[in-house]
Amino acid sequence: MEGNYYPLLKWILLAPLAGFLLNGLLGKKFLGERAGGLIGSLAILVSFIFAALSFSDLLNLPAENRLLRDTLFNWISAGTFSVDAAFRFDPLAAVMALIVTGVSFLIHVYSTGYMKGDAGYNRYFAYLNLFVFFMLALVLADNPLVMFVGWEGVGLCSYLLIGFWYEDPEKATAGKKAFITNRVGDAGFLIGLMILSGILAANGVIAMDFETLRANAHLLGAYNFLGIAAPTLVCLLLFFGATGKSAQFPLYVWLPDAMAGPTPVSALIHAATMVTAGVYMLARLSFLYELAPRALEVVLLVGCFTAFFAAVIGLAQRDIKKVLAYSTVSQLGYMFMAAGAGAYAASVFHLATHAFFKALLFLGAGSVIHGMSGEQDLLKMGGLKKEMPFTFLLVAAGWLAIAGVPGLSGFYSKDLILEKVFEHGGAFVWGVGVLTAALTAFYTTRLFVLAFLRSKRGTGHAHESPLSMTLPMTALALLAVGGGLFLKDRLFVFLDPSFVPSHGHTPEALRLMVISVAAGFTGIITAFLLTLPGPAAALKAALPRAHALVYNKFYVDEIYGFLVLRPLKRFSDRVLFGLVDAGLIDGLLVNGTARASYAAGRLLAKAQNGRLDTYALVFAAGVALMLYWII
Amino acid sequence: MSAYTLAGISFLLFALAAAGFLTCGSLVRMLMFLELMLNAANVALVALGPQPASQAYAVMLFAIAAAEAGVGLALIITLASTFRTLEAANIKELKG
Repeated sequence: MEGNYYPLLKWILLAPLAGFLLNGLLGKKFLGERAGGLIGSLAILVSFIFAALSFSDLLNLPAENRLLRDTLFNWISAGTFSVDAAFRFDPLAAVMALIVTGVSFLIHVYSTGYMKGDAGYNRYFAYLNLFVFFMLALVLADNPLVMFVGWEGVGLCSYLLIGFWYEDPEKATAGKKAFITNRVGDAGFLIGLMILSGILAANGVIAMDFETLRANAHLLGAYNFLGIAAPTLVCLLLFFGATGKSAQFPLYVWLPDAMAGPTPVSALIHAATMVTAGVYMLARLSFLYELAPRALEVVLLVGCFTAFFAAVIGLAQRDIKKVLAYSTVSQLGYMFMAAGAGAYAASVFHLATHAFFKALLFLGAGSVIHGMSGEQDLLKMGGLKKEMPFTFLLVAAGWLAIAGVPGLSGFYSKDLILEKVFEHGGAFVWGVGVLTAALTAFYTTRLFVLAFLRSKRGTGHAHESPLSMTLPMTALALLAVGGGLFLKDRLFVFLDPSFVPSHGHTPEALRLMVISVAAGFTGIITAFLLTLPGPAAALKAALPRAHALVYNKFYVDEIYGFLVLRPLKRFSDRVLFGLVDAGLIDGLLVNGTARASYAAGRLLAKAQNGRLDTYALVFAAGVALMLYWII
Repeated sequence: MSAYTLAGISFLLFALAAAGFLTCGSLVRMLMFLELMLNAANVALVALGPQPASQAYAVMLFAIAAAEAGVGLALIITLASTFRTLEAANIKELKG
């Protein structure tokens, strides 16, 4: 079935698009809430079913020949440059498509309950479907340009969804921040892409699909820019794009603010889909990164730093969603660490398990916020165990999974990453990774304890969420608990047919595992101890400076504001507005044209002095000139 | 008379008429100098020789000159009744 036409592929994409069009065009007036939510969820379900059908067809192919493609139409054709709107379904795309559609479907179902009664209900589902459409375009793309369309599309949808409640200026600003920060990264991505296609075109390679790129990637080796080898430069630029989309240092700042959106949106964007785009891109272009070991080192270190840095910030946050936001940034750091160590399969594995437990935690947080009528401050929660028993149990599953308790999904993926990092990245990076694992266990335990255990601190009454919210969470909880064990070897064999699952670990790997598990448990126990009112207050009093520093996120936003935003604003105000816009465009071009015509008119009007003899003289001079010309 | 002499007379007549047109101030005189210029052109046509075409042009020019004089005089009469003067310098309505 290897060929250029696989009919099911386009339906994976078209279903969410149809959902978007229906909800977007007909909307509240014609569909109403019930039908809108139903269509939105069904669209993703259809997409998931088609993805699953394609997946089973893919499994029936011989292991080394698993690729389904479909070229819809010729998209760009300019001279010798030609790009098709082509899509591919190979093991990597299959895994991603299943995660994206599966988790998105659960989040859609959850949203029907969470968003009930919101004024923008249909608009919400339209955006959500459009988001999934773009994410699938990104994942299924067969060339980097189609991928870039999806890449930009999810950026746009994240802007729309984060700023969904746009009446609140703070939320609208958060949407803008996400979009603009992403644009900064996208610029790097685009430049990288241009260099890549430019070099290939100079060597007569015109097609841009991944197969061709893989076969011709070695051509890059001969080039140099400013003393940097071309593969390294291209990889670094593409990685810069990934730091924007996947919220890595230095462009991670948009993600915590993006919590302004509705909570299911956070679950969708920050757990399962958009932020994984960068990780996916690295895995997709791994053949390119293999040529650039220096770029991989950068990926490893950036991932390592981000994982640690974000985990530290997560320690002291009070907003339940902020904790999860920094946790996401930190976990994404893990994925980049794995990619940087060359273990792409491990990073995709962690991407999958993270999609399960982080979506679960976000939905759990949403359930808590929903139950407490909008309260997000952890310190005002507590004791929710009794009032929200289902949510309590489900979040407990997510908590244990992310904390790395053996047997649950987070344990397998995190442990594998740490093992790979130890092999390829060295002991120091590994040590930071283990420390981060302990911190992760600490802040998630802190969140869990503060929200659900101990005595009640808030005054409001909480209620359990409806079934439409708890059911999807249950599905995610099952995945978060069992997904790791289930996927462990299957995923690797599927992603890389040459992979041989090892039975039992080497003594060294076992030792590493024991250390990281011990770190996780240390984190959990410490969190239980330190969240007691006494020690918490004592610690805060003992280290006021450190607490303020961490609580205020190391003042990174302020530093960016000082170093980047203020000069930029000043530059925009003085040069771009004052000089270019007001001075050059308005002053010189727009008003200048009018003023020049007016002055010319004034000048020429002097010639019209009304004296007939003057006219006659000019006339005679003209005739004389003409005569001179002719003769 | 040779063609050269005729052409010379034509040029001379035209130059004199143009000079008069530029220097005099009265509209009626200007019109008359215009007629003279036309006649200079007529002489030039005659200087081209006894071809039928040039002679036909000369006759046509008489007719045009007559019509132009009629129109010109009518305009001058209107101007005179409006502005009560025939000095071109006093009529400045064309000033921009």
